[in-house]
Amino acid sequence: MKILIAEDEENISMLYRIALESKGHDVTSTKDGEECVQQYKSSVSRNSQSNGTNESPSAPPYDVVILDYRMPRMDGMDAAKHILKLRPKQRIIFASAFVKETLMESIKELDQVVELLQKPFEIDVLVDTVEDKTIYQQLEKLNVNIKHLLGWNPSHAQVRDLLDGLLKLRKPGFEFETMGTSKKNRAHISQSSQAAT
Amino acid sequence: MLEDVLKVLGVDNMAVLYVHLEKLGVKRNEVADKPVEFSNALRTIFGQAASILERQIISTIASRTGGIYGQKTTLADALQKLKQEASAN
Repeated sequence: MKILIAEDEENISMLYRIALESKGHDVTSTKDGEECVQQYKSSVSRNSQSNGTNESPSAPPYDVVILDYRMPRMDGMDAAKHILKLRPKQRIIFASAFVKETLMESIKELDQVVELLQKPFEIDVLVDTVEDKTIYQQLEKLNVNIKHLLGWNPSHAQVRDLLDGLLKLRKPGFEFETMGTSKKNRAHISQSSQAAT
Repeated sequence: MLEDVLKVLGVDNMAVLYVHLEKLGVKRNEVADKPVEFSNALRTIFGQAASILERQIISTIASRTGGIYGQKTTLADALQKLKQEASAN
C-alpha cells in the first residue's frame, strides 16, 4: 500500500515508518500538515501526468493518509480538508492524543468517512487498521472466502462496503431501499491502552 | 458464472443475497435479461463493492467465452455478447 504520514514528532513518525515498511508498505513521511498537503499535491500532479490505463485520473494517489491532529504550520484537520478537496475519496486516518469526543466533533466538518486512532495505541493497532485487519476478520466470520477476495485487490472502501452490505443482508427484517440515499459522516475509532512509543 | 463469483461471499450469504435481489426486482433467473437492474441492485446492497463484483463477473464471462473485455465493458455488454454467442452455437 502507498501511505502518506504527517506527524511532527520525529520518533513517532519513524516508528510508524519502520512498522509499516516492515510489512512491505511504501511510506512517505512529512513533518506537518503543510508539507503533507504539498506532498499530496505533487503526487496528484504526478498521477495526472502519467495517467496509466489502470487508474482513474481521479483516484487518490495514496491508499491511506495518516494525520496527526495537532501539528505546527497546519493542523491535521486543515490538511484533511485540503486533501479531500483534491480527492474526496481519499482514505484518511487521524492518529491523535485528543480525546475522541473532541475529534468526533471536529470531523463532522469533513463531509467524508474518516477513521480515528486515539493515542496512545500499540503500533500493531496502526498496522492492523491500515491493513483493514478487523474488517477482514469480520468478513471471515461471515464465511467470505478471504483468500479469493484478496486476489481481487479490493480497495479499503470496497471491503468496508462489502462488509456493510453483508451485515445488512443478514439482519432479520432488513429491507434495502433503492438508490439515492446519502452517506452520512461516520467515524471508526480504534483504541489501545498502550503507548505507541 | 454468476455463482462462481458470488459464492466467494459464502454460500449462505449468496442465498440471502438472491432473496434481496428478488425484492429489488431481479430474480435469480432474470440476471441475464436485466443486467442494468442487477447492477443497480448490487450497488444498492454493496455500495462501492458492487463494482469489484461486477468486474469479476465480467472477467469470468471473458475467460469462459474467450472474449477480451476492457475496463469500460459493462456487465450488460458482457452478458449481451454471451447471449449472442449462445444463440450462435
